[in-house]
Amino acid sequence: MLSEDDLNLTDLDAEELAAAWDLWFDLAQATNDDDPPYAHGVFVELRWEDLKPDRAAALRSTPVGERSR
Amino acid sequence: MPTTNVYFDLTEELNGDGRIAVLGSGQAVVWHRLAIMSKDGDWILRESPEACARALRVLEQHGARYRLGAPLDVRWLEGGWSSHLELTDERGRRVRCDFFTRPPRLSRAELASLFEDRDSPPVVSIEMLVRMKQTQRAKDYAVIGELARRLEPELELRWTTDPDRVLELAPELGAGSSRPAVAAARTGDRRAVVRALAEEIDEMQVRDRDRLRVYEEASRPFLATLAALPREELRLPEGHRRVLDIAERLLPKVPRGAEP
Repeated sequence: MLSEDDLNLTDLDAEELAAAWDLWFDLAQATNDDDPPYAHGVFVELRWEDLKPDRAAALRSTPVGERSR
Repeated sequence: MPTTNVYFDLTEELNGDGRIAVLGSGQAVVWHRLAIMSKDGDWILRESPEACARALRVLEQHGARYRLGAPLDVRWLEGGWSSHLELTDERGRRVRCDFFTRPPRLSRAELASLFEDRDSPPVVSIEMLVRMKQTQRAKDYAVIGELARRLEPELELRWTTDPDRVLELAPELGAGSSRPAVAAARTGDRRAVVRALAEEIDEMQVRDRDRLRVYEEASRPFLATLAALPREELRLPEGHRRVLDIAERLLPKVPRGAEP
């Protein structure tokens, strides 16, 4: 999954590392619309279709006391 | 102007009045110079109201708004929830900022230590990062194998997901290991090592998925209500009050079955 080139970052100084990351970050913006909603945290398994507002009414009808302590 | 990593810069800003935030996950991988792999930032936040207030102030100065997630409030964070915000940098790039105080698989003592040594870099150690990466995502296990290579051989053998490294290290260092893959390696049975590693990874993925399911189920009404709001209403500082108000009504502070 990670090539030798991916792993050859130790020779870079801090400025070079930042420049490499910055360039990569610029390019990575192209996929923003296709990214999953979460990359970290407890919602990471959720997908956009799980978050659609039209589900709100049905979901709101579940009393919170039945899900929590 | 020299180029910088926006997430490293934000870390410095967050910690401007004292250590409250430590980089984890993908940006920690970048920090440790293993790979350039994450376009988001996630921080372990010190679990205090003051730390939450500081983080909100910094993010507000950057025009951040909430994404769908728990309020950046210690009452929910100590229940294991995560908070998710987003801002646009001066070059129009999307910057996603995720916060939690109870990352899974790290002990309370380890978390406390992150904020005690102010001379250490504001980033989780490689060994902590390995455990944080033991998620439900298959791709994280390749990263664990590479992270483990940066550890001392005894620790590498404890965490690596690479069968070749297990086979190489186990004969000399594996006598006391409880890992089935290490025991298999000491008999020289490569296929058994591969099977044992696959089963170990699967168990970790299932465990993590079960953990997340508890939060997912408990958050559905809350997230659905937030999702119905216009995005602009989630911009700080007002957005924080909106999220808090909805969380008070719909988001349990500790979901039933959770072990934060």
